[in-house]
Amino acid sequence: MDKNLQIVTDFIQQDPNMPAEQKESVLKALKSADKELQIVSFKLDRTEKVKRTTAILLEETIEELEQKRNAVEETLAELKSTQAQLVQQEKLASLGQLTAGIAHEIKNPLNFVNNFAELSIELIEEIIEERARSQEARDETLVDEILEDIRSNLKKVYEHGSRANGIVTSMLQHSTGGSGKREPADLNALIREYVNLSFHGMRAGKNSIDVDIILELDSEIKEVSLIKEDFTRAIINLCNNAFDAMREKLKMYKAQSNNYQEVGDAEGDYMPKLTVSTVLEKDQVWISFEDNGSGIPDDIKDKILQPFFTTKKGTEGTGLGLSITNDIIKAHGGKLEIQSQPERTVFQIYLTL
Amino acid sequence: MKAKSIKGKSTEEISSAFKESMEDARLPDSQGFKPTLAIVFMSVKQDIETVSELLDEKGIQIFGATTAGEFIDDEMEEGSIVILLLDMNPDYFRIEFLKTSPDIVFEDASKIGATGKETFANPAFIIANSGVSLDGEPIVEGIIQGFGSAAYSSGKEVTIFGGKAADDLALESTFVFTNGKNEDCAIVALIIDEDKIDVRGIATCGWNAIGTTKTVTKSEGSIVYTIDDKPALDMLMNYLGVEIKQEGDKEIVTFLSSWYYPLQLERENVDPIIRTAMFANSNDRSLICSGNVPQGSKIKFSLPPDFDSIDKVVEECKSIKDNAQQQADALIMFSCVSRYLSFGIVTKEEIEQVQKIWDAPMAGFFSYGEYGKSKTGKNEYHNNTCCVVALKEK
Repeated sequence: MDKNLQIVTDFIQQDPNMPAEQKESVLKALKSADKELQIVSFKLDRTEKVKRTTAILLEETIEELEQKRNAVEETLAELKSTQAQLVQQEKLASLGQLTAGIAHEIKNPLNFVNNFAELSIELIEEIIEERARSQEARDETLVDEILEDIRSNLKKVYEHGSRANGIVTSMLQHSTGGSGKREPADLNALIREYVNLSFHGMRAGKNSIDVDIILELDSEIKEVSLIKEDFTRAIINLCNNAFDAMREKLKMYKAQSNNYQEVGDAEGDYMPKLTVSTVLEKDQVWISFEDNGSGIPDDIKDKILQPFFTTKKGTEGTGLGLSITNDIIKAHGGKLEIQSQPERTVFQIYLTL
Repeated sequence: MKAKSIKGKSTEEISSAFKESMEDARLPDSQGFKPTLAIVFMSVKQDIETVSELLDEKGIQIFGATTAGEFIDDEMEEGSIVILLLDMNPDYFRIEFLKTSPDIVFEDASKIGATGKETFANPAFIIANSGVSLDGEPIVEGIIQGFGSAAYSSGKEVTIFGGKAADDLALESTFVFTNGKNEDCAIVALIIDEDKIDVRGIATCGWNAIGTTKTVTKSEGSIVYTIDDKPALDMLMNYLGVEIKQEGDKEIVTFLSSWYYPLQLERENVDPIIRTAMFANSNDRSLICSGNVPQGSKIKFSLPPDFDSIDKVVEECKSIKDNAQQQADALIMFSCVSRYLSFGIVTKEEIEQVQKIWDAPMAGFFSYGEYGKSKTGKNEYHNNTCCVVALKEK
């Protein structure tokens, strides 16, 4: 019993005058009070103990969380760096493909240059031969005609040479990057050039396919403010995606699958078709890339714009192409929409002028 | 079914109390109390043999275990003997006793499950086991497996409740006993016919998980070596400010202060389970827990319940009644000794209030582990838990 309560208890017990009943009642109350006191004392003691433990636990937990936070921050920095590397790799991969396309593309004008130059050399030989004759035997009319042919050939050489030069200039601009600022550009011309480059790039690569390219470009569109090196990357990417989709579909067709190990079993003909169109609609320009591939399955429709999402196996796709394309369009203040059903997929870009 | 509770601080006292309770049996119209079953909980200090003989002479079957404190009705005792005498029809119950060891405890528990199934169509198992280091998990799992994986046609799971015997916190040798048998590593099972006796119970804990989730990065059975790749003992000491008392050059020491702060094992879709660190290895800094802690488990530290958790225990006990007026003939309680360490003299309140719900004679003890089903969980081996079982003849 608590010593003070004990004193009171002893006093009461020793009191000869208090009636027994009253004494019993008081002693009972004292005993009860002592019990309550013990309980309160115990509770206080335990509360203090738990409070101390909680404080220690809190400190340790804070330290632990600080360490975890630092670890998370480091991981985040690493991830950002890795992501930047991957974006750069994607850029280089896209550039590599472009280079193949360009090489393919340059071959053509250079062929013309070579052919016309060779022809012109032959024609000059003829002139020299003619001039070696005596004045009377010389056919001056023939010489004039040959000179005219040479001039015509050299014009062609210049034309095709300029064309090749133009292609190289575009490629350089694409690879080194421009100012990063939006500048007025002929949208239709860009579309024409880069759809063509993408096509040739695909043709130069492995697993090339025939594609019917249709351009429906609205002549009302004048200049559009674009960051050329970025926007052209978007065009290349959308074309490549369309080619990939159509290539996959082609695998299913018996007659045309002569490029592949596995032979498809679908009967009939399938002609891959890519239609790129531009439309001027009030203060907007709509650019659409429509293919007749197998379509995008419903279960991946809302994932395809996510970074690193790819349906390609192994190391074939980084999964960044569409994500970067979407970012480029957004950076131009535009929007990318996707509609897809079997046989028809449309990637539609909306740009506000 | 009638039940009477008796207690004594010595074999003499209990003997007198027993004789007194048997007086009724000698009534001429045989309407008196003729106990057939005794639930005996006593301190290791007491004389198990003598008490057993006392009961055995009268043909009373014994379900007995040693304790870290015992209680009868709402009175808490230490170092004493408490007995709950029941006049249950002998056809309605059977006692099984199996000496066992850690490597065959699952098989032995399966035998008990199988015996239950062979004896009654719907058996309930009230169990106790001795063996300080004997893991309780295989005992529950063994009984369930031996009984058979199919639940009753009513969809009810098999009823298992019980406790792990104790030894007044010495953590050296605990005992379970029945007529003529007494072992320090054994299982005693009171198998009851649930078609004749209503057996219902609940296991309640109340310890609250706190802090961040940690991973048991290395463990083997009940020994936890590292938590988050750091020595387990040091983690506990750092986070909870507890210390071990070095006992000479003993490698393994008891870790009573950690019983307030058990580990809470998180599990998917079921209640978490508590595992108390009973011992610590001061050399390799590992913790020896009261049950299996699989490597890779997610755990949290926990703090003892607030005092108002007693209300929670009471509410949960009430919830197993079909209605407020429902009665019981007898109550058995298995309460973890860490609850007593944590609640101290307030523990009596828990015992009192639980007994009041059913208002029937009650015997119970402070154990080193408990068996039972919580409100939302399945039959399991618990720590820091209070299991209450109510018996009523149908």
